[in-house]
Amino acid sequence: MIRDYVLALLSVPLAAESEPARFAPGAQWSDVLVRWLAKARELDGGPDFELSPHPAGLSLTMRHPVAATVTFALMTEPDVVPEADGDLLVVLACCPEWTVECDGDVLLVDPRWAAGLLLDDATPLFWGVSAGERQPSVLDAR
Amino acid sequence: MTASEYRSRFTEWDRRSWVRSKPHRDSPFTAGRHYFSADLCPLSACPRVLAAPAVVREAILVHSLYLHLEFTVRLEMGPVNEICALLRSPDFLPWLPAGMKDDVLRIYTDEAGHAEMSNTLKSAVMAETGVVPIEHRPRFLTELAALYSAELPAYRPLVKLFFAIVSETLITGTLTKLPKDPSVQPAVRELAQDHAADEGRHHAFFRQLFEQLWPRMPLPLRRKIGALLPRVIFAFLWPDEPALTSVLRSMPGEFDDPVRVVAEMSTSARTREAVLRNATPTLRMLRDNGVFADPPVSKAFLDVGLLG
Repeated sequence: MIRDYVLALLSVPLAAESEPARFAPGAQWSDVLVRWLAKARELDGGPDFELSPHPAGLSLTMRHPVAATVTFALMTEPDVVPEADGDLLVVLACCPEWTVECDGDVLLVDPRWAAGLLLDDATPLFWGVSAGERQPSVLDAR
Repeated sequence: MTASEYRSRFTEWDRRSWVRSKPHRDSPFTAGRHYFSADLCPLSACPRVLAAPAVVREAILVHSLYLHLEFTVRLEMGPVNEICALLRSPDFLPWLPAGMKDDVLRIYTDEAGHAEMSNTLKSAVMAETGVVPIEHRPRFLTELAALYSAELPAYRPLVKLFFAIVSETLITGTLTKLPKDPSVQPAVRELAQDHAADEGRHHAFFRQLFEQLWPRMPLPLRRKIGALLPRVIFAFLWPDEPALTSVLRSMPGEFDDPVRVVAEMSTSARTREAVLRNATPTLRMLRDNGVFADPPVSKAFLDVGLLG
């Protein structure tokens, strides 16, 4: 469930292929993520979480709607997925060739996705719409 | 997609849309004409139905028309227009061209018209034939609601969007064959023809929407949604077994085991062939956009027989 939840949280329109992620030196990518997650919480008050620095990058401790620990890390070597404890590892890959198949407790954010996520004007693909749309649906549970 | 790349099919909407330019079809009902095409009624080929008296077979065709019309009303007023309203919202997929946001209101209007025209025809047929429709909730709504409620709330707008994309890109026999069947009442054929003309424009819109949306989705999201699509296709195309069983139950003197008759229908090659035929335009759209190039997604389609 936490993987699905984080996938929804981080989904953005992919950047164009000509615009791969540009990672500035230092921890700027994690600063952008912190801003993104804070904005996500504004759009949808559902998630209750805390963020803290982590040796690999950033740690997210979620209390609601699911209790879980998520680590965000940068992939800095080809084919090497960073190691981290927790329920889910989110790996941002910045080089187009550095894509690897990941299993269920690793979510690989490939370069075009990372580029879309780290744009200053990035907006979620669909996160927050459910919270904003209060119209009942014929598909709601009866 | 830029505004110049979006090819609107609604530039002549005022002149071509049924709700904007065409009348209610009130051709008088004609003795000896059917109310639905036997070729499109999944029960019609069942041996026990074929052996029934003509008046019973005709009543089954009337019920088939009712089921089709009720399906239309509930689909257009439900998931399709819910998603049209959402697409119109500036907050949902804000990068869509302004022309698409404008056109989706025209689709919303068309769909409300289709619901109204279907409901009006249903009332007219009830008055003419005296056949009382069964009470039912269309099966597709139950199936979609199960898929919808199984997802985290955050995903539900997106899931509903793909319900609409699938339903609007399927081209069913009721739209293509019903208008051409000379054995069917003119009022029914004319309605199907009017509906089909509008749906051709909607198909083009939702195909363009898909072509813009799918490549922009992160791979894990494409896999998640891709795995749902076969069930969505079946939700729309598989015969409404509970409703058809109720139809046969409403004729207790004729069918002593309705469940068995419907089960035989469901397992027939004819039923599966009809589903595959009606799914073809949607499957072509998915193939053209590389959906089946991802093995986990293509496996989901292969597992249920939607890919050969």
